[in-house]
Order: sequence, then structure tokens, then C-alpha cells
Amino acid sequence: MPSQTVAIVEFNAFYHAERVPLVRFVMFLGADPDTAEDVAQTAFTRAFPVWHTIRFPQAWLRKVAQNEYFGHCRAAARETSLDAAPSRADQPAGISAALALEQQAHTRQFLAAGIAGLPPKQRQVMAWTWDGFSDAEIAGQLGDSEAAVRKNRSRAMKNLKRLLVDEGRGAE
Amino acid sequence: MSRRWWRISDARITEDEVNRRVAIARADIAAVLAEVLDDDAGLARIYALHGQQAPPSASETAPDEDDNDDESGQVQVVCDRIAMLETTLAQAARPGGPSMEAGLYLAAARRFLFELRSGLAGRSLAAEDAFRLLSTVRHDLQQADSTLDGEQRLPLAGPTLARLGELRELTHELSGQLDVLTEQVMRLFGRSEDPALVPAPGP
Repeated sequence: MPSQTVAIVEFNAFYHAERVPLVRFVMFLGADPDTAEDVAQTAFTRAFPVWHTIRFPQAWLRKVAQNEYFGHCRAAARETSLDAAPSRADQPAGISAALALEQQAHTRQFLAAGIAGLPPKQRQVMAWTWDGFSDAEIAGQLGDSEAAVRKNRSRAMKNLKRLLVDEGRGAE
Repeated sequence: MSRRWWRISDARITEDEVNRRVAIARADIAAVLAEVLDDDAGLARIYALHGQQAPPSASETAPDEDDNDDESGQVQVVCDRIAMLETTLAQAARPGGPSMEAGLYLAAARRFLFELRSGLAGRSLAAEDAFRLLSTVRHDLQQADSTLDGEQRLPLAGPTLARLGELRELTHELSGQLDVLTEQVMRLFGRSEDPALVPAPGP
């Protein structure tokens, strides 16, 4: 069926073009690289059977990935209350190992000291903002008002300045 | 005393500096992820989960594997550049800026850049449409610059004039970056120059 063929070609092209930005988006929500890769993969997997019905795939995937990631965080929090969190050293070497080796020190610091220090809502707003979405689009996706988006962005920027100053001070 | 020292330290990092670090981090992460992620394996997992067989990958069917990798990488680089411009424009066009009218033009430019990025990422944009969007963005930047130029001639307070000047400088910087972006998009479509890319006439 030609339309199905077109959809498959489109999906594949979209996957190739958007996978890296989506993994990065989830990292900017606060995920480690391995979790971000898993979450992004889950979002694409969910998109596949309904691909022809998705009108704005970039926003759709980000929203699904965001929900998936916060669901993952809630599950992890429940598990941690029962068992000790696994040590990073015990985990297989995945993309986080490659990232740790190859990422520039300033990027690792930025993620660890800056992004990780923001409250979840501010992280969400900044992740969407940095991916080029407008206030109205972000408000629609997060279920907030545009004013709340602006307020969270303003607070996030202020916090980032402070966190990065702290990080610089710690490095001195 | 510590409070005063805090304020001085806090002033050391500006919003521009934060944005610069974000841009570096984004580019850095994208470069590493592009190296380590295996898209064909990821696609194969999706197809397998839905009981289907993945179609042959581009690298398997194309005559030159390097060409495809290059093309995909080039699209990613261009999309990253557009996203950076969008982020800068989002900051420049936020409400409460020194010029509402210029802000509207900058916001419009950002919307067209978003459209361009979405089209390029989804490979759903014809060359003519891409160049039309670039021309429109250029036109919006010119309009913003022209508006700011006019407002700078008004008898406004010093701080307002200074903010207008900063915004105008940023608009010039964005125009320069748009030139680089235009060249990159031309290369994506295999063109060295395009007659459709005619800068919009000034006001």
C-alpha cells in the first residue's frame, strides 16, 4: 500500500533525524544518558503504530518521553525505598560510559551542577525552550498557563546563574 | 559581608553566558550521541516489537554509505544551528523587551525557523519551501532592525536606548548567522546558489 510505504519511509527518516535530539531532550529533563536512550526508544516505539495519526511528531514524542521519564523516576523512587540504588560501577558500560569519556568537562559540569540542580518543572520548561518551542506550545504540552511557563523560565535562568556560579566557585 | 560577595559573584554570570554554555552542552551531547547511537539497531528493535521486519537501512541500500552518513550528519548540524537561533530569538522576543514591534518580528522569525527545522528534520520540505522560509526569516530580521533603528531616534531614556541598541546588535548578529545557515541549507539541497533566495526588499 503506497501510503503505508510513505509512512514507513517518513518514520525511518524522522527516527534518524530526531533520535539524537530526543535523547538529549530527556537528558536535559535530568536523565542519565542510558535512561534517556531507553526513554526515547520507548517513545518512538509507541509512535510507530500510530505514526499516521500524529500531526506534530516533535511535540508528541517529547510529551510521551517526558511522561515516560517521570514515570520511570516514580518507579525508581519506589524501588529505592525498598532496595539500595545500584552502583553505577555495577552497571554495564553503555552510552553513559562513552559519554563520560568523550563529553567535554564543561558539559558534564553543566549537566551535573546546572540542570540537575533545577526543580523538575523548571527543567521541563527549559528543555522545551531549548528545543525551540514557544511559550504557548510549552504551556499546551505541560498543561500550564503561558504566564507559568514564563515564570518558571525566569526562575530557572536565575537558578542556573546561581548554580553555575557555585560550580565555578567549587572548582576554584 | 558574605551576602555582598554573593551578589558580586552572582553578577559574574550573565544570561548570555548561560545561553552560551547551553549551546555548547547541546552541541557537545549531540556530537557524542551521534557517534555512539546505532539508529539501524534501534529501528530494528521497534519493527521487531511490532512483529515486522525492518526495511533495509539506508546504509545497506545506498551506493555510498559515507554519503548517507554525511547527509544525516549535515541535517543534524543544520537543525542544531536552527535550534540555537530559535533559542536566541526566543530570548530576544520575550515580552517586556525594549520594543514590542521588533519583538513581534523576531517572534515571527523564530516561528519560521521552527517550521524550517521541523521540515528538514522530517525530510518533508522541498528546496523552494526551505529557501522561502529563509527569505521570510531574513525579511523579519530586516523589519526588526528597521523598527529598532527608528525607535533609537526617538527621545527615549538612556537605559531604554541602550537596550534597543543591544537588541539591534543581536539582530545584526542573527542576520550574520542566518547567512551561514543559508549556505548550509543550500549545501543540503546540493545548490551553490539559488535564484529563489532573494533578500526581501527593505521597508
